[in-house]
Amino acid sequence: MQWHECNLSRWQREKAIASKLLNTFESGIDEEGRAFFTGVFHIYSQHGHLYESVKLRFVYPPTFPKRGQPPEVYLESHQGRWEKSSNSHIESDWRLCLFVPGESGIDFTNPDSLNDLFAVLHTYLVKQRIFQRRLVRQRLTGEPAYWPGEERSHGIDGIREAIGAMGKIGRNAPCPCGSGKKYKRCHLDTITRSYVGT
Amino acid sequence: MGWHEQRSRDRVQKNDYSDFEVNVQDLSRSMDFHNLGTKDVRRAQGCHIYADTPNFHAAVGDAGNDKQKQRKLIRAASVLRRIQGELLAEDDIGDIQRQSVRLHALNYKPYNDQAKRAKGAVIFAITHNTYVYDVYNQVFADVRDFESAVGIASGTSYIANIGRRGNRELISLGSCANLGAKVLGDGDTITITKDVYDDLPHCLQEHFMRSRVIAKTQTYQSKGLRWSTYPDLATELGVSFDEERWRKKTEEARDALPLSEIEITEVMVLIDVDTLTERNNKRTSALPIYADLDGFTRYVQEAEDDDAVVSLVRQFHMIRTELHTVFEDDYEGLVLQHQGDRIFGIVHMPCGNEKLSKRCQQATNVAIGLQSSMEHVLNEHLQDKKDIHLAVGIDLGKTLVSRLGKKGRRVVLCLGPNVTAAEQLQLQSGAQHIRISETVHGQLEDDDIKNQFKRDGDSYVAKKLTFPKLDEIKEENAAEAGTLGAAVERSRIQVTTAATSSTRPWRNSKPWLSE
Repeated sequence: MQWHECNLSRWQREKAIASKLLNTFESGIDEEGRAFFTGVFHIYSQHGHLYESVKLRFVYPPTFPKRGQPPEVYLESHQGRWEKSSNSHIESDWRLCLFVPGESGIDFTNPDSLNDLFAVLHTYLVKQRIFQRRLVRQRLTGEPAYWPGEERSHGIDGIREAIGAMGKIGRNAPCPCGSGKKYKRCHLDTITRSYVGT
Repeated sequence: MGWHEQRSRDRVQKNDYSDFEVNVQDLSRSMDFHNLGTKDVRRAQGCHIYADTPNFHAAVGDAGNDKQKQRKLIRAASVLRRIQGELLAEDDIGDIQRQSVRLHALNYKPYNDQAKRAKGAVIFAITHNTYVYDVYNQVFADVRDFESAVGIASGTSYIANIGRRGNRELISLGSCANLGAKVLGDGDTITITKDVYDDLPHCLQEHFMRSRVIAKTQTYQSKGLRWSTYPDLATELGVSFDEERWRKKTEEARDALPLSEIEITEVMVLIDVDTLTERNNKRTSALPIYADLDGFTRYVQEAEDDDAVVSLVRQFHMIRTELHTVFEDDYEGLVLQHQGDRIFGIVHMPCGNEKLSKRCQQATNVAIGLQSSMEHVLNEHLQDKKDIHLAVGIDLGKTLVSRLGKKGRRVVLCLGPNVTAAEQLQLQSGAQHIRISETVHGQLEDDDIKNQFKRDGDSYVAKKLTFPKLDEIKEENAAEAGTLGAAVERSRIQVTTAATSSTRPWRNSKPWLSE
């Protein structure tokens, strides 16, 4: 039984929050049995100016909200306009790399945590716009395009950086990578070995 | 609170005046503009007259902290306002508005004779200059040798009443209504446009010399034209100016307002204009702000029928209401007057508790907020009239703020050299410009805003500066610095460029690619 079937009120709460922040909101269960919703999200400036709108798809992990696994967010619009690469923090399937999940500071067991995810997403998208603008400039002038502000290294190095910033992690705590496994059963060994290696 | 585009959109959407009933009629014998309702608009043919006392504001600066001199100036302004009203009434000329010590009047009678209207307007101008130099200055000899200058332009304009709560606040729309002020010359001059000149009788024309071209209009100017120096002209025109009578009236008006009854206090809290009278005045450091609707008068002039005028008047109300709200509600500014298609207001400093730099920043934010509403919100509602923009001028200095006149016809005065300086900065500015004095620029603490202003002559100008444009700059800087954040409040995204872990749970993003 998936989480949205046994925790109906939470699924309703997620949809209620999302429907207020997304235009043309739609929700459902995909062919793999995962809960999802889609909609158009507006990117605003500090003074409320609408920069642009993006269409997004949120897909929930089967065990949500346990074990610190966040919903995954996919970009459905802009696929012809924005460049997808590792440096732009967009996966090959247009999944947005918002954070090292364990470092986000979001407690997904909180029924209102989706608001926090939207806040992170908004900041990410503002930065993504800046980065995409820099990519255009790079093509025109050759000036290298850098992600604006702090970012984590790819893969294991990024997890190590996040753990460094977070401080100590318990062996039985959810792994910061967002796999849903315990840290000791996921990245603990790899991280420890890499420390030893270094 | 500050400007916010969504709030601005909500306001304009709610208050776009599309259903506002407007009755446009020609000004005629059966109706004048003194009892106009807020829905009435009068199309008027006539001569717009601006009579100014150009060195009055400088006198307030020269008075400095001397309370007695300040009282004398308030009294002199009050008497001038009163006597100007009587001079207008004697010549049967319509009193549109007092812009501090500048008079704006319209000679619209006789209704079908422009030559007589032009002649009447110039006769009034000569009378005004004669009065100021030969009577007023003698009665107020201990105050200052005041100067007088008059500008006159003729044409079609539209008169509307935008006053609230029973107050009468007339505005006139049309290029001739503004041109009269633009052609104003130095002391003891009368400057008229070519149309007015062409309509004058020869005996008046011969006193005017061809002068500068202003706003693509040829002007003519006379200097030193007064009844006392040209008594034959007065006789030929059938004018009798009784100096003694006017001196007596002026002295009576002066004596009716003893200096001991005029109180001038430093501002301790934000000014409530409704409490001001000629006996209760305020002195404050203030940033006068002039914001002019560039391009609007041209559309008024080009309006071919009543429907076009109705549409323009509705749009004017929409613009005026929004700009007023940005000024007062978003930034605690004080709108003092609508002068045609221009707003005049101040941001002022209650003494002691506010930093000067904070108020300079606030005034600059007012200007950016006004530009933001105009460019990002109002322009979307102006249909095909996309060439309407704002030009803003700001200066800083000590001002005297008062309110003269009787109930329903009160006029707020804001006197000080920086008031005219701010007006000059606005007049030098083009569409989408914000021009600030060097003093104001020097006080700005926000470097992102400060850097948007470039030196131009002895002032600083920012072009096309709006909050959304500024946001792009600030957000990029904040993203780099790690202070860009967002939060969801009442189902709305709030963005900050000053996120810290201690202020609130702003959410940042440190992206990571899993493999």
